[in-house]
Amino acid sequence: MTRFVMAIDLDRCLGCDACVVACMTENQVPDDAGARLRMREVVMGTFPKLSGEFRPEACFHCDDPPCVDACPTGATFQTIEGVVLVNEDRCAGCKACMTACPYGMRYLHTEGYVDKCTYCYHRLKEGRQPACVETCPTSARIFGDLEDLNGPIQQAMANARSVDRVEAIGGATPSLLYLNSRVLGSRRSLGEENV
Amino acid sequence: MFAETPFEEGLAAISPGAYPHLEVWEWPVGLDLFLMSLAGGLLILTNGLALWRWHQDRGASQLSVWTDVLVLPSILGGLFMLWIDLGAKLQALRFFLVFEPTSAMSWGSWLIGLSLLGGTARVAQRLNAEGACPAGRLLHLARVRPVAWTLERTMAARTAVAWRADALGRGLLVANVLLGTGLGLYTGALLATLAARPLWANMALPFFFLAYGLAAAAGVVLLTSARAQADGARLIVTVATALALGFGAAYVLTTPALLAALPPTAPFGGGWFGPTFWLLGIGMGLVVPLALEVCALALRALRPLTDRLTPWLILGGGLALRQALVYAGQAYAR
Amino acid sequence: MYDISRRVFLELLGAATAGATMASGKLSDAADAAVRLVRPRPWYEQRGGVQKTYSYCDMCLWKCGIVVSTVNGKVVKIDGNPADPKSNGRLCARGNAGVAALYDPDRLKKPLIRVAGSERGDGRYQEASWQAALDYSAERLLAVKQQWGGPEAVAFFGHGTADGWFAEYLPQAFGSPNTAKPSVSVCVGPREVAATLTYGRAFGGHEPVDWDETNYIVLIGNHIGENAHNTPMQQLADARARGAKLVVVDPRFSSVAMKADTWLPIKPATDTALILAWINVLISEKLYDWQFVEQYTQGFGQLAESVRENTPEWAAQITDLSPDDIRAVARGLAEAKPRAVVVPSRHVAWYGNDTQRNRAIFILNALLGSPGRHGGFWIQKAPWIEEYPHPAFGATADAGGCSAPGDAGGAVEAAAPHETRPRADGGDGIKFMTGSVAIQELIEPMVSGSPYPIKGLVNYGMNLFHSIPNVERTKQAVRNLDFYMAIDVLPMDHVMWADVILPEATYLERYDDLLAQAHKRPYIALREPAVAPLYDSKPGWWIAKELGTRLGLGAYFPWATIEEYLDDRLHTVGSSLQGIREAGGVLIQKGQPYIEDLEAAKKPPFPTPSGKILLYNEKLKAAGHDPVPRYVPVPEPPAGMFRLTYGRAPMHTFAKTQNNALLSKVMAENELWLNTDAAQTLGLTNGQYVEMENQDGVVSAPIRLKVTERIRPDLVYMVHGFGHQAVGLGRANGRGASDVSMQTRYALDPISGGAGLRVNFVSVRAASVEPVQASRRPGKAALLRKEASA
Repeated sequence: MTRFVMAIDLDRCLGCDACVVACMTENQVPDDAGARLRMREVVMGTFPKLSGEFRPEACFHCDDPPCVDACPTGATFQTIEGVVLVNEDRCAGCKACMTACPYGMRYLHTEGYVDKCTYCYHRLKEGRQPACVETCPTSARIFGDLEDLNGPIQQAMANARSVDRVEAIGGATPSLLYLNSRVLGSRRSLGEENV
Repeated sequence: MFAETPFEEGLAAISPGAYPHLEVWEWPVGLDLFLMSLAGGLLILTNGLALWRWHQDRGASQLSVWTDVLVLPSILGGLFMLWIDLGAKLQALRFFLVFEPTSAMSWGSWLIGLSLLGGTARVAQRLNAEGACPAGRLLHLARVRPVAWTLERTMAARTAVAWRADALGRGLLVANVLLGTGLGLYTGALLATLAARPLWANMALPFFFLAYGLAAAAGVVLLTSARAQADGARLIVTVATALALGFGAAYVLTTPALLAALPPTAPFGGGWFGPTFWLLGIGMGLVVPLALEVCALALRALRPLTDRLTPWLILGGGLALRQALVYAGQAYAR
Repeated sequence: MYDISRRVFLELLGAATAGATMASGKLSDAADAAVRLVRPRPWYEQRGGVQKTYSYCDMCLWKCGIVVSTVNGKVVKIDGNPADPKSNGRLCARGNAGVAALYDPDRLKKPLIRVAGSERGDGRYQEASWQAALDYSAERLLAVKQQWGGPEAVAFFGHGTADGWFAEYLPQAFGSPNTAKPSVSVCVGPREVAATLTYGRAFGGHEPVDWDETNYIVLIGNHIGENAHNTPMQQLADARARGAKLVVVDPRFSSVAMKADTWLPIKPATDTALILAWINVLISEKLYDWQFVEQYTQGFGQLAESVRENTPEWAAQITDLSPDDIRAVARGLAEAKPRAVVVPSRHVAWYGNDTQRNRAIFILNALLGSPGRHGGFWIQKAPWIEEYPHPAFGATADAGGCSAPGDAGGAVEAAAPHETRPRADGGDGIKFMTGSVAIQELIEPMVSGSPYPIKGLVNYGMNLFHSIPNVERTKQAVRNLDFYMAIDVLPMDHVMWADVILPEATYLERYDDLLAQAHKRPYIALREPAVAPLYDSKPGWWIAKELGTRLGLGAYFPWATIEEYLDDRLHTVGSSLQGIREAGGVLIQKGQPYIEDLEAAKKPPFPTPSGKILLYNEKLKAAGHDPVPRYVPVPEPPAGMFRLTYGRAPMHTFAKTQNNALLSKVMAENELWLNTDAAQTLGLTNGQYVEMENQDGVVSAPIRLKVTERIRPDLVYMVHGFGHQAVGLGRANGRGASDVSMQTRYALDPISGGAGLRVNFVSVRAASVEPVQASRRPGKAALLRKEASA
């Protein structure tokens, strides 16, 4: 059973925002609405003992998404491969899903429906990679089938020093993997929220 | 170890377009929650009391007709607020084209729809039972042909509805009580089912909002009741307010996020959320009315004052509390 | 029991069934279909299909090859060209945002002529036809030439991926040697001169680091990832994944410093001491590549003598680093040699002694044996393609820069006889020893007429008030001109001071000259339009030809159309306009990247006069400069003030992109970085608006403060390019602050003419005025958190 996930190698990511902008053009995100992706910057320590990383974030396509449960019109749904999508023709813009997402990953499109990362589903159908993966200058993003034991995701996980997800909060169960994070794993024991 | 390590975390570069969208619902939603719970409370009270006295009144009621009529503008007003909040307003009917059992908003949509039907039927039932004919007052306008024609049709329609409503008899009252309960609970469940918002995710919240709605409805009953029924109305207000306070305490005490964000020891903290929630919502809306009613129980002289004042305090407090919770729940998302 | 009549019961049942049908969702599907008929489909679902064209990006100076997708006459997406050696199919944020540059509503739309009697800077213009504007411009330029002693009285400034027409071709045809690009003296100039004085050739605009094979990388102030050039980002990531070690020398914990195995938070302006200490360690511990030194260098003895005292202990005091750290890096480099590289920055115009610092870096690399070796630095080769034949030029112009033909940069041999007057910037030994034209030194002739008056200025896409230090002096210079014309895409600050404004079409709307990229694998890339020019804009080549023809230089533009020009040029390499399209937009040739390749081709790997790498340079000594670099301290900031430093952000390019809808959404304004302790002392908090006042009393616009641990306490840092004062730029106007506005002083590098800009000091205090445009502050929920230590 195919399960599409995105893995991001935070050791490679330089926080250049190429993915953020590529997504905006590929998916025609309106200028004066929100954005599907954003870039988080985390730095720890005091000068000069510092460590830090950049963490690109978008919808985590949770395993059991609370946003899908919250939708009253059935506009948002999860595909068989685990991609959470919005049928923009059906969405009434009530924003229940936006309130249900603990990470604030959805935004209201100027056309009135709620929009978010779709893993560029229109590209997946053609066998291409999501726009952010294709453009990333540091090749930090990997996309593929989690269940494919020989696939790029499993390979990347095997080669990584650590594999983390953002802390599961508010009923969300993120599926997006962060590899080689210097922040997430070490702070898991804190019980601190990362968002 | 890392708790001692200072850290900075933020969004790389200044990117207002890309901030997490955690604050989405605004005052229309708060107003909707208030109006719907008021409608729910009214449905429960008027239909419940009529059910209790069915054998005596058989549909007529000692409560003012306004307590039934006000259900309709309440629901419609709330519905209008929800509609204002919609991103794609032309898609508003989508809520009635599907039922999603996991979505509190879907439950709410259907409960709202059915409550509207039930509430209208009850109004027709009452007008029929009491022989009230508001059209009589308007018939002098019938000198104008189109108006007369419209009135005729409306009267015919009203009769058609009323006859059916009448035929439903007690069943309608039972249904309305259940719908009203559902409606009141829904206003809280809309927030409580969102596990992502720590201030809301508490199953005590639906009961708190239901009880507060009942208290608000009791206030309306008190406002509209004739002198003869005032004693009963006052009792209902006292009980409902105490119930609301009880559930309120249960909600507050079991929501650590609320105690952290809006500590009761500092009611002026937290921007406008603290004063609105504690001073207006809890204090002015529940504690003061309860105190006033208890005093009025003892001191007859106070009653003319409290009869007029208490309902408005509860209504104002209810609105304030909903708004504070809607905004605070999204501002303190972590 | 409930007295419900049968009729009502049946009606209820009917209603319930209807309700259930609605609730089942079947009607929902029907409604979806109805909506789908009305709502427009996304571009990738359009019936018309997607047209693809090739180009090279213009959003910065790197010139990645791109593929542009157009649907129904509208450009929708830009992707990297997989065949292109610079982009390899990937693009940075700016490259992706080119779509917004094309459709920027604030673009210049028609030629404009300044209203007679108005002042430069008033912004009063009337629209004109191209004919009228070009006729008028030519007339005025010829008048300047006639009245002020010759064509040298006209200066040509240019910047951009197609600046060749206006910063090289036209001025040389016209006969003026006074043509300059900011990418030289306020950017790479000192580095290119240092490379020429050491290796005999320029370093090159596409930094020739052999990332694929290197094992130890030291970056000196080089903030890859914020300076978001596509290829180094790709290759550095791959190199590190391969196990290469990274050392970053930077007073700031930059993005790339986060990736470093060692971060050396060096005190500003002391890098030369550090480099000399490394040289000292390599020599004293006999860790240098002695075979390479013997075979390919000369002057080792003098070098060794010069650095005798430059021990790590000596350097530690100066640089505020520990001697052990310094020694460790030297040993790390030595262990990895020759697959070890010390990579200089790209923008190196820091303190006025920058040529010497870069010489030190190149000398260090020579000791490691990395120049011309695998895992070190490969050697640039320009692609072979013939120039379009033209009559001999009236002057030699050496504008240099990173987009010079063949990407040679650096000093250029004189190819045409000098006309009446030499270049006016004081190069060739007067104000500075050698190197391409120093743009900031051409301001003086405009102000004072020394050495001779420059009274005309043609400015192609060069941001006049955001590049050259001492903005007030530049404005005074512009006021003094007889004629100033600007060719640009947007109504930038300086554009609205011109006498004539000519709107150029963006790179997505035009052909341009071929990109002939010197590289490890030299290549030729095509730029072709994706859509026709919007509004009344015209391509640069057309403007140059039309202007040139009116200047009497028609013979220099013998081709009728640009297609003919490109086709003829491509024929010389056995291709054609159609051919390069079929080849995927890029024609790749064979390079000669390593010493062995050059030696096999009987060419000197290091074409200095002696054929060897010059560790000790006689020419420098003869001109009165240090033949071997020495550490010379520079003035420190006075108490209570900070050194002002600046850099790049990965989503912006200089002062060019702040109005771009997509990029300004991601970064709308810049911030001033200030150390936490320093901020605490001043009583300033994170996120508040502050202003800077420099040593000359100039006060900056309000700028948001970033209180952070990521920077030393003795300096402040900001991203360059904000603080526009251009009412025509809806998104950019008044956002952030301009670092150049604080750079009233600069230190002239006497060797290369570079303008050291990091010599200005500022004090920081709460802003006294409101910002013109401020970004909305995030709500509580989204705000950054700072936790103090327990």
